[in-house]
Amino acid sequence: MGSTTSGTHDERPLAGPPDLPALREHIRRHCGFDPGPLTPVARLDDLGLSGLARLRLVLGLETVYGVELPADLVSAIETVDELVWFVGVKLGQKEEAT
Amino acid sequence: VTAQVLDRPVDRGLVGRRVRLERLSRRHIPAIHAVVTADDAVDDWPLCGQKLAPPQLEAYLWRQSQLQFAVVRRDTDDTIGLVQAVEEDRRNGMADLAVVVAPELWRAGWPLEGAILLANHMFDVLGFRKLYFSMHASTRGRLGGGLEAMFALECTFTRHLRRGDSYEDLHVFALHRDRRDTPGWRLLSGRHR
Repeated sequence: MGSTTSGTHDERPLAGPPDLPALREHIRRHCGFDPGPLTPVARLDDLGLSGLARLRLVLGLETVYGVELPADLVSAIETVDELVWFVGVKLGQKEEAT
Repeated sequence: VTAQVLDRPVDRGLVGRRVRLERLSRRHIPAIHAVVTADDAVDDWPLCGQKLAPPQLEAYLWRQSQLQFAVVRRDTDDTIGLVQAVEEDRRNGMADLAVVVAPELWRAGWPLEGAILLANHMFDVLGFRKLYFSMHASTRGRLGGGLEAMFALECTFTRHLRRGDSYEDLHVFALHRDRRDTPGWRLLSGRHR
């Protein structure tokens, strides 16, 4: 089983939303920098996760967790907590659909 | 050659997760005109201070590039920007990549998928080997962290571009066709699928 940050080789989606250490590691691997310890209220923009980094973050999460985040949702996400919550919601919806 | 390329059906590679590229046509112009003439976009636009009418803008864009696409949302079919290859150098396989996106959408990241789609198209279909992407220091800030993980900083022109009453640095990044083998690039290019 791959880690939460493999994404590129082991394509089996993960079942639960990322916890904060897993999300930090995901950012480090997929966005190319370490944002440091994460807190739920940290703003993604303040962590350097805007623009191209946001695109890489979202594409990586979608690949690892097997979900799709709509464009307006990605635009609306501001904090770490919101990001984790929305990934969890999408995972729940995927589970219901299957 | 370019005309032949433009006449081909749109490649599946020009469709991303949230956006697709459409060959620039007259119907895209009003939305692109709104983007480039927005008050907070003017500083980033080479025609700074000039408010072209839509037909003039269309003519200007076609003078600037023969290889350009509107960036269109897949979910709403709205045109949200433009990507262009400019200063094409076919002999050496190089070109500059230009991206126009509504200012409020830079932060969200997903519209930049349009630039990645064009870059992949130029590398994989048209045979380019190196693309340049120039940006203001302030634009670099809006692109978030980790930029160097995907692109190589080629050079910096100091105090190069006018910004208000002073001058701002211009960074020139390079994308090499053969150096795309990073996790970030694979995700953006769909190579993981």
